[in-house]
Amino acid sequence: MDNVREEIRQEEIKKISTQINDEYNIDKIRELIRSNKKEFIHNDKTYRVRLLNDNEKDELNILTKKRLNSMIQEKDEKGNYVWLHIAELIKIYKERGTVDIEKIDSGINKATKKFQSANFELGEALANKAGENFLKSYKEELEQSKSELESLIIEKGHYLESSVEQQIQNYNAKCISYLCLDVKEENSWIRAFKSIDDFIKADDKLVNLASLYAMALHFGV
Amino acid sequence: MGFGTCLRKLAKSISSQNTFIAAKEINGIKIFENSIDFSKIQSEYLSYLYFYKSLYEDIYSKKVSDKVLTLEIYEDAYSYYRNKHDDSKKDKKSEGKQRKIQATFAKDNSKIKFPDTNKEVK
Repeated sequence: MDNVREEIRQEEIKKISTQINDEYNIDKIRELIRSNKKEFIHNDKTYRVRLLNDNEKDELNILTKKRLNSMIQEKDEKGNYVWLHIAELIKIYKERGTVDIEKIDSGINKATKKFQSANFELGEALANKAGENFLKSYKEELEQSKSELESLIIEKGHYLESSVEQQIQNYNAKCISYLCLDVKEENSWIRAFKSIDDFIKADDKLVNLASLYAMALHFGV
Repeated sequence: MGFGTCLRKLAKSISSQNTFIAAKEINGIKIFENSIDFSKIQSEYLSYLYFYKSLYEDIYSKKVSDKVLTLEIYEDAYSYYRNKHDDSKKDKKSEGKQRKIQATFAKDNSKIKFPDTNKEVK
């Protein structure tokens, strides 16, 4: 009996803590949406993430172009280019017969159609006020097609992650986080790090938190 | 709960929906501090406000039951179906208009022949 009571109590605690956590997350996002700014404290310092201004957008452009130019010229000790473009990677995979990106693409197209059709069927069932069993079966079908589609997209992303295009996109995201992160010093805001390299080398927790807000602001959730 | 779900929950809440409606009708009530140059997250939030407004309207007019609000997957599927359904209705309407326009040019000496509206226009 005591065990059952304890289980119920634990379940209640879990429920309440999830609710508090949800409310806390909603509050965080509410501030970000309202003002396009988000303040947070890390290691007793107050930081702020905000939207980039026009000068910072120019700075971002220069940083990204510089990185791109250096990447496309970088060679290893054997004289081969270190970074390959998506088209080159796809060609190499094909020549080696290991990965067929075209086949994955065609799988993505098929899975997208299947997902859209399952989405429509579930929507139609809801509009026609179908019974619980019908909804459950349509929902399972939709979840399965969504998971198929997601795994194909992840698989493709994994094979092309080392491409110049993908690396530049990742670098661009880091630069945005670096440029839009300020720290409060003597009641005024200044850029938190002197260079992108300093930002990348900084405490992981701070970098991740800043990136989370910066990405939500600039690329959405 | 990820940011995406938080954004949806916020847009779905009755207080956000009330603010959204009031902001459209009463000058001075603002959803954001800025009134131009919306960030990506603000644009997404606005889309979700419209999304849930339509869902609530459909529930109110009994086009769908409030069961739709129990799962995000239901909300998305129903909205997808409704949009596709509306699109096909619009397509049919514009097809009808095309037929009418053709009828005005289908002259046979003095009489105007109207095409059969059940047949496709060639």
